[in-house]
Amino acid sequence: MSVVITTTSGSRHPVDACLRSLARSSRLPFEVLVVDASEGARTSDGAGVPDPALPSLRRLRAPGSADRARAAGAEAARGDVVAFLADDATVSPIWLEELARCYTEPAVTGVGGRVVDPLSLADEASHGLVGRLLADGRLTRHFSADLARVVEVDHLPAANMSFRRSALDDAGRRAGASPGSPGLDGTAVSLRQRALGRTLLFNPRAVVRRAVPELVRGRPGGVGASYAGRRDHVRMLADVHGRGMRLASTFVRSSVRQDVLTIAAVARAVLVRDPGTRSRGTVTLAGAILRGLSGSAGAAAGRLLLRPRASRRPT
Amino acid sequence: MAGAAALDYPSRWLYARVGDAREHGCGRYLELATAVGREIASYPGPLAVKAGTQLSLARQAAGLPHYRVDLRPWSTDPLRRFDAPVHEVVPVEAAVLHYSWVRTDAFMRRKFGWSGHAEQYSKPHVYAGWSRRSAHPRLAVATNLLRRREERFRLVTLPDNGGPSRD
Repeated sequence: MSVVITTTSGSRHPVDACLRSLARSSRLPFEVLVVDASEGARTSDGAGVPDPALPSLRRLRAPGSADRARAAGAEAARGDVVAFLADDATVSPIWLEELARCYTEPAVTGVGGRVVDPLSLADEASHGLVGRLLADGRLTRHFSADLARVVEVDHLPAANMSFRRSALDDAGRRAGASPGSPGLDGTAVSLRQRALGRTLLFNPRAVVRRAVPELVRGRPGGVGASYAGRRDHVRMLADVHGRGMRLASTFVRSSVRQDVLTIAAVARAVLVRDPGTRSRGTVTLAGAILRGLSGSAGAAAGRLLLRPRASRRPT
Repeated sequence: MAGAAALDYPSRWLYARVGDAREHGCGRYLELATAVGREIASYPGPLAVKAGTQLSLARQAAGLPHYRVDLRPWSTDPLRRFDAPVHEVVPVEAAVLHYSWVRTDAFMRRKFGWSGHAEQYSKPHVYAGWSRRSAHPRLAVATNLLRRREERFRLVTLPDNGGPSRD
């Protein structure tokens, strides 16, 4: 197995801690590739002397997005399976062993595991199913859920996912790259595999710990993020499932419907149920309207800006 | 259903048989619907649970992840949040038909006494409403907008289950 660690320009985490945790694994990787997506030569400087326990460490540069870095890492990897990690991640000692165990089944194309960060919920499993693509195009995550067994999923967490290299080759490494929104980082790679009818597993025993919670990663929330997030989500669904796919359109309709209902619910709460707090509530209502309008506009823009073009489906 | 403890499968809740028409093996029913007559799903409890699941309130699996099937890509259940997840969509014809209120007058009067929901159903207006709407189904449909979301109906023709008609 090859392990690809991607580090991006916004990160302040040298990969040393990640490398040290890998060196303590019960099963060592065939090779480790550190792919620097930052504009400067920061990671090469930041990464200290490689741990002698690691068999092979290579450093690459692929300035741009984390997706571009992952694609470059997968291109250069020589192992049969390529596992991806974020630079602020540390792995449990049995992480690689647990990932490898799932690949004994030939039908399995990709395997991911738990991602635990300081804001992870202890009862995450009760909040919903892990890693599913819903009927209206939304995604469930819950990747910190401590399930009792391995389950099949529709997408994997970018911070802890692995694929057979042959499957990545088939699907085209850049095909289905995630758009820019942080919430969609790496998601398209998994969804593309599922769209091709392949099996992805979530193994809760393959644990990765992250220093920075997913909720505070990337650009701050707000009207702009709401717009960009929905727009990119629609683009991703269309990219993965094809331009004629109904899922992207369903997502747009569902988004608009939910925004309208959310605004109506907030308006009812502010204007009818609790008129005593009307002045403060009006601000809340204005915020809900702005977020709703920007989100719906983003979803609609994502759909409208799509242009028919030659399919990127692999031959 | 991987990772789920229970399967929430949609049922179409039939409120009453109307009239006594049993032509071509079909019956006319008042069915729970939206104000404009679109189908909605109701979920009295999970249709199936994994062996070993601890149930709450006799047939609920509260606090456990459910695999939710619905009739549309978004939640159509009036008792659930509108953004409740839907994992799979099935056609209306594939839904379970719930005939629990399709009974005779006498049976319904008895049912409201011994049902598990007797505390709620034994109030006089529940039976009175059921009886009135069964007798005047078109009026019940025409006045949908005057009632709560959980009490809106449409008229449908469905295969007869052989059960008793109201009359």
